[in-house]
Amino acid sequence: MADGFRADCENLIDFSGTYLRPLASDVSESAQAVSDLRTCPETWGTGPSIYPFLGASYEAVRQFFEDAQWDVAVTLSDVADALCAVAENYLRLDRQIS
Amino acid sequence: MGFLEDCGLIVNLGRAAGWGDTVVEMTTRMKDAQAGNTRELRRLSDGWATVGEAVDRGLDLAADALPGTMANWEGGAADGFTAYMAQVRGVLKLHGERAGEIKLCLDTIRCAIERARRDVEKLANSTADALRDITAAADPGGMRALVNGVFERLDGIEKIRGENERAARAELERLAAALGDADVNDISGPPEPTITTAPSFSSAEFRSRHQPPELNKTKVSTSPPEHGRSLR
Repeated sequence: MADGFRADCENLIDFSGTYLRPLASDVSESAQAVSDLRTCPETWGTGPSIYPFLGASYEAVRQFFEDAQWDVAVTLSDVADALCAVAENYLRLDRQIS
Repeated sequence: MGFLEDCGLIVNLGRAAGWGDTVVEMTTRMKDAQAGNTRELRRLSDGWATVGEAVDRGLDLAADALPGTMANWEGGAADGFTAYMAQVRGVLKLHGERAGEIKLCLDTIRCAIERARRDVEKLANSTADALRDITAAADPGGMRALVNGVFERLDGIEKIRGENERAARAELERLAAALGDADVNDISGPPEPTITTAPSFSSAEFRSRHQPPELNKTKVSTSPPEHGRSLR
């Protein structure tokens, strides 16, 4: 029973370190990549047509996207830390009662 | 002859024929109609293509490993964590789809500019040739007809580019609204009882099937053990 419990806790720690933290890091890198996809007015053209509005619409989408990705990255990182902490605290409690 | 040389010739010949202001307006519109950085738009498009793919593998690996990891864990917080992981997966997959749609918008805009550029360059070239002939023949009537014809074709080129870009802009605005929707954006963490926002929770809310009975009714901290004052 106790071995099974420890294995369950180790599984949580492993999941946090092997999957959640790298995933949070991937999303964070993705958010940074989106940050690098900013444009300047010359990208769209500076003529009298709708070009400036086009740039503004693009930038609104890009910023929404970047913010959403940072939110996911930060939350995932917090969740990875909390999951690992829960498992470590359970293991510590288990050692105290053994 | 290149586009800029054509424009220079058009301005010089037009001025010599007494149509200076008109040909300057003409070449200005030609330059504006083909403005934009297609190389940069291609770089952006390529960038959005990789954004969607960047997290796919890690996401799938985590989704595959999750059922095995959580197989022996139960309780509201455990279920909340599993639900959160499904939600994150859904949101990130949606982000991937949105990135692909942004890429398509950029491709539409780039193609519109490339088409306008080809059409304007052809127009500038044929205009320079026609102006040369008209000047040589000293034909003011021919000049008027040429100018009207060029402005008409410029109207057409600007219209096509404008239509494509308005469609792309409408799509970008739709995407901005979609990204602002709660189902894409609201991923603040697992629902209550949560393993992130609560400083601790009852072991009943996140318990192992192998849990020793002595651990029932304990409180488990969500902070690492060195800060785990709630342990008892």
